[in-house]
Amino acid sequence: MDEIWNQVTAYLTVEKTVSLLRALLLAALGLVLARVAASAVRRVTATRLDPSQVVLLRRIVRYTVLALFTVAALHELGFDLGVLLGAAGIVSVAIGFASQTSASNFISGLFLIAERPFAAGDVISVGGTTGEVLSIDLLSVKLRTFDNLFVRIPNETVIKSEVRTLTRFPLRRLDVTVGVAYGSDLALVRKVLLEVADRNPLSLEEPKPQIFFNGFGDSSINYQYSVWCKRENFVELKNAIQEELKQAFDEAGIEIPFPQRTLTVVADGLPVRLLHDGPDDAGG
Amino acid sequence: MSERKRWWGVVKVPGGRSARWRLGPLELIARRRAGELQLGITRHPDSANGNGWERSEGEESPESLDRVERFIVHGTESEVELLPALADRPVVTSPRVALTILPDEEAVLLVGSPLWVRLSAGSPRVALTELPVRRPSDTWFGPSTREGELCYGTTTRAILRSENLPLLAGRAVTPVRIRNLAAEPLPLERLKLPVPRLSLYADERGLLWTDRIVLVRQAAEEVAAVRVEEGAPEEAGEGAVTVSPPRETVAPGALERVFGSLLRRLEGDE
Repeated sequence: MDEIWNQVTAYLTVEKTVSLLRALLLAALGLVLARVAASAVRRVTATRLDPSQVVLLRRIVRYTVLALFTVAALHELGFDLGVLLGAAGIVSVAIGFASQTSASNFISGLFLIAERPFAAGDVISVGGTTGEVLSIDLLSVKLRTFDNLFVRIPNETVIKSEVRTLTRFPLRRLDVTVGVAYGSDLALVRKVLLEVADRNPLSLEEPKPQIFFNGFGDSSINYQYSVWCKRENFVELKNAIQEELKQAFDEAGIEIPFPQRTLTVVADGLPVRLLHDGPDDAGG
Repeated sequence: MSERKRWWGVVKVPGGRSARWRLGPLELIARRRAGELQLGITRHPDSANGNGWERSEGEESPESLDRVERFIVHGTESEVELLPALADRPVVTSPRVALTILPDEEAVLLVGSPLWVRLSAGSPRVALTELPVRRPSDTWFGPSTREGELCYGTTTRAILRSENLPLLAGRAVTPVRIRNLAAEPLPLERLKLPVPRLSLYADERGLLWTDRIVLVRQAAEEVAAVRVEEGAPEEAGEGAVTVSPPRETVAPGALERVFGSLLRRLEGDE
């Protein structure tokens, strides 16, 4: 026991004690300065950048200041920084190989935060998942879907795939595909479609509703009927206008057909005999 | 102004009694019960009631209407106040027949805009509900689908003489004085009325008016100076009284885009 004590006292010369104290002081100073610098960054940038960018910048500033002071403290204690950095280099290569995915997500996260294709609170659609963005973190984007599930999407996936931000612009266009029977009066169809849009208060007068002739289908003449609305009213309009459309078509006597087959009986061909006198639901 | 010419104002509804208003397609019944006030609202099909109004008192139940709301009101306060108000967003109006103002011409157009009603009770007054007499359609006013402002859209006959104005419930009239100082004709395709910034006045006929708006299109400028001339407009006559103050106040003389014809057309891409 005495021997150990002797060794410790022999090591702790006045010079060593002073450098130890200096190192401790540097570390303490580093902690305080890192905190002050981070809060200064927050104050300066809070109004100009969005919250996730502020958090990222704060972290970078804080850890850089901490790292600098830690290195200075180690240097004060007599560590050879060249060897330390060399070792750190080898370790980081090893970690890099071992955590490729995390590193890729991390880098993607930096790009996402810098590019800002969406922000927390936006509704986005990524690879079939649609939901409200809860947070954009360094490794992943967290979503809340409309059926209230928590979905974590790795940043790499977000960077690689097509992302639709549904809440970027104030207006949205609702596209409804409408098929009408071949026998319909097409001018009347157009008139009814425009009247339905005109009657619904959520459908915007300007930009005007649009009707596109989409071609001759198997059983119907197909139109694309597009109406504009305020983004927030999209779901309400989608429900209301399709019901109103059906009702208006019924009132105007316009038929929305279902798939039909016309059978032509060739003379001297296969004999076809009607078995009962029920309603003609074959449509041919 | 005689009582029968106006539908707004304070009505006394003692316990067990009810007041009923019918303004165009909108029907309201307010009934006072011990400790509560019941309110019933129905919106009839637009064509059913025309544009007239009626007000009655009796014992009708609000439960016969589509939507019923209850408000807990302590005390014996029996007054219910129904007041007209202007829309809560600007109104974009387009003339039913194409209208062009030639260079160096000036006109005062009488333009209608939709009315809201605000029902309030208690002392001090607390607004119980606010709703449009006839819900106008939404529209967008801006250079693109990315920037602009959500407004209400209506059409106007933009008549020039106030004697020709019919008395309609659910409509206020804004006199708009337009001067075209540019060398080109000004086609008046769409006009944005900043109604949340306007007050409402009633004339002796019972017609509702707003402050007058003055729009001056300077030569070769895309924006027009909009000035609100505060006070009852000349067209409302001498006996006009203030009915409700503006919803919002803005620094006067603000430059704004008000003529839709000067905006790029809104184009929806397929």
